[in-house]
Amino acid sequence: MVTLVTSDNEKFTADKEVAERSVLIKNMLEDVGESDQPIPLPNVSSSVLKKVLEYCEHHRGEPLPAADADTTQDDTRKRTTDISEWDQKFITVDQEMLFEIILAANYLDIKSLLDVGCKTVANMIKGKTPEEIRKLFNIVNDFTPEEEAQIKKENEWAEDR
Amino acid sequence: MMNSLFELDYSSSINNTIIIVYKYAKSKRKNLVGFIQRKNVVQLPSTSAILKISIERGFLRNNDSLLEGTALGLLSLYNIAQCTCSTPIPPQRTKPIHPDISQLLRSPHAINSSHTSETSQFLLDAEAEVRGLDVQTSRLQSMITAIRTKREIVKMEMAKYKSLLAPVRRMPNEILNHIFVLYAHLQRNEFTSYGWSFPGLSVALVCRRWRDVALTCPDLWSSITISLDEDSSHFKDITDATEICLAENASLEHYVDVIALLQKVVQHSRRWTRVDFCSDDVPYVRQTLSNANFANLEILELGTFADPVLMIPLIFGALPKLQELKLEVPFFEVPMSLPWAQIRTLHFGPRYEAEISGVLDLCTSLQQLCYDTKPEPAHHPISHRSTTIQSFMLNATSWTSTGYQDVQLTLSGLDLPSLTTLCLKSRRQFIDDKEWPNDALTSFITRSACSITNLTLVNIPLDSSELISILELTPALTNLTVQQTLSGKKPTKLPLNMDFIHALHSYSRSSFRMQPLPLIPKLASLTLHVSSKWFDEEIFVDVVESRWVLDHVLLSGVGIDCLRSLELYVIDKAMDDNAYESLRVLQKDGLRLELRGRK
Repeated sequence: MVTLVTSDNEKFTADKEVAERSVLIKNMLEDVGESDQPIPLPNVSSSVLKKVLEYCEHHRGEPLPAADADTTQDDTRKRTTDISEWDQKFITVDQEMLFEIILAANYLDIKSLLDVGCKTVANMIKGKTPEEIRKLFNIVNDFTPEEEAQIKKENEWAEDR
Repeated sequence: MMNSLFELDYSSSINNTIIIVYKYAKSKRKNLVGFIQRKNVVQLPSTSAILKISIERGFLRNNDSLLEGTALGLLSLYNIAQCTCSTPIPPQRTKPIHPDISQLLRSPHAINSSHTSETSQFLLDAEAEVRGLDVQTSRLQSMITAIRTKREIVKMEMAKYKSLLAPVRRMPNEILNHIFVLYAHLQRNEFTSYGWSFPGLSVALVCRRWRDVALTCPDLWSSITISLDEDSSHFKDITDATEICLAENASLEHYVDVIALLQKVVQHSRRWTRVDFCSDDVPYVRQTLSNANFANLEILELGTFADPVLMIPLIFGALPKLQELKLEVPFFEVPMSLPWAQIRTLHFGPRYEAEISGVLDLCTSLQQLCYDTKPEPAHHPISHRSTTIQSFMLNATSWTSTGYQDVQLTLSGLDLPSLTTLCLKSRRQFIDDKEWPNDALTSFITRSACSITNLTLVNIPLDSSELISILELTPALTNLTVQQTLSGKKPTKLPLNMDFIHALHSYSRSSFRMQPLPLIPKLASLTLHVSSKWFDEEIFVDVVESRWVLDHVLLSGVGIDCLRSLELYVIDKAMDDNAYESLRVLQKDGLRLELRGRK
């Protein structure tokens, strides 16, 4: 078993096989060898780690992408935009949690979880106009008037379609 | 006692709304403010904290517009923005002169001269009062406008600060880039005569940061699908849009599906790695494409094509990197100009009519072969032996009176000793009067003496004994997928009934099968799409448990490898989770489990 300590000082124990779906944790365990020392995860809060471990638990045993995966393998990963039913249900969370999971997956180096999160965001963007995307993610249009004018000029062809 | 017409309370000091105020006060503001200062009408404050300003009515009697200007001028002078104006609705000044006006109106007689002058005076007074009320209305209206504008400004400010806290802002650029890459594969840039979809543009117009990331993400710009009729009126729009893609494109990948390929696009043809070509022989397309450079092309799909033998050498000159070829073209002759010897993946579409064996003989590096059956038996049945082909996919895509005759001919003519992956798919199943050529399939496997590790069967009308006989020929199998979907008819053949499931048991031998070794002993991944009507959950769970052996010593004892992944889809019933409870225990031990039922 592995003990993980979150940014808010909560302790989680997980099977080594489950925790090692995180390449970061796997490397740490390899570096320190057999040890009971808890692993600090200062960039992950307890609520997020709970979700991450739920994901790792469900996907335990599945092959991990090789560390030296070639670009073809990487490309295939990118092009597969399907999300399994379980993953979809798992990632149905509010925006705050969704982006926290993505950040945690990136930090912990769990590629499959990072993909699930990013594909979900990509799906949210799909088919939306810039204004709709701004509204969805609370983004302010921060283009200067000069930039706006330039962009408008570049994209005149798209205006009346 | 001073008669106060206006009483203005100000708390300052944001100066945003002064702009609105200016509109009304511009012309007279300076003069009035000066006038008021000179006359000491009001006590001018030295600070703009909280002010209460009273303006005596006596100085500005009957000149409401001047009063308004004065007030607004003071607003401007002190940069005061936030204000409330409490103006009591003044009592009606013009009193009715005829209490019984109704009677006068109904009277048949004209009013006398004294009444006439009174009435005229009344009307003059009333008109003056109406003008005054209009001014007051206008002033209140401008105040409402100012307040509403202020509200919008505050809301805009709030939006900026909310945006600062938005979760999406916490994404570093590399993650944003990854999202855009996935998004690019989800929604491609597409331009047709009927409209366009340009996902790259959507994200590049969101904000400065998204634009910067989008412009450095080649995947957003490196894929263009253009379908253009000759008489398209949107030609210029499409070329403009294409130019944007070309300007931003930093990668070598290019995917083009064209009816008419544009000259501008062709200038960048050296970067294309994939071309899907479907076009009739349109002269300007041919002429434009003849200038293209296909030095980096890896994948070529040839769809509709007029006179391919003549046209292919004209359009596609040298193809030094071509590895994958899909032939949808109704070839009647083999286009010898294609670099067959370097092809690794070859797909014969259902409309391909030309000789196949000869082409396969030319493909000395072929590793993956896909073959779609034809509506009618092939004119040139396959007869080929290859020691390089590792993967073979046979799609019984076309269903005609000949049934599976083309499948039989194809399987009978092939000999693939290096084959490891076999995939057989049919669009229809359980057709009573059409027989799946199972003997041809078993003969093919026996003849090839291949070691198949991956087998996929989709809608293939086999019964369980036929399926078992195939699996007995594939002892090295590690991945098995069998999918059956239900047509309306009652099926005559059921590959996934309980005889088959029972045959997978690692040690319990049914009367059906008395082999010394378990069926497909190396099975590691099993995917089944089953019907609940011929499926017993309890026996299935028992079979799976019999193949879940983690201990290496025990594994060698029972002669099987441990099953690591199970996907079960019950196609006609909701999943009964209780029935699979014991499999959930295995899942906790490491079995990859996916159970789905009909919703």
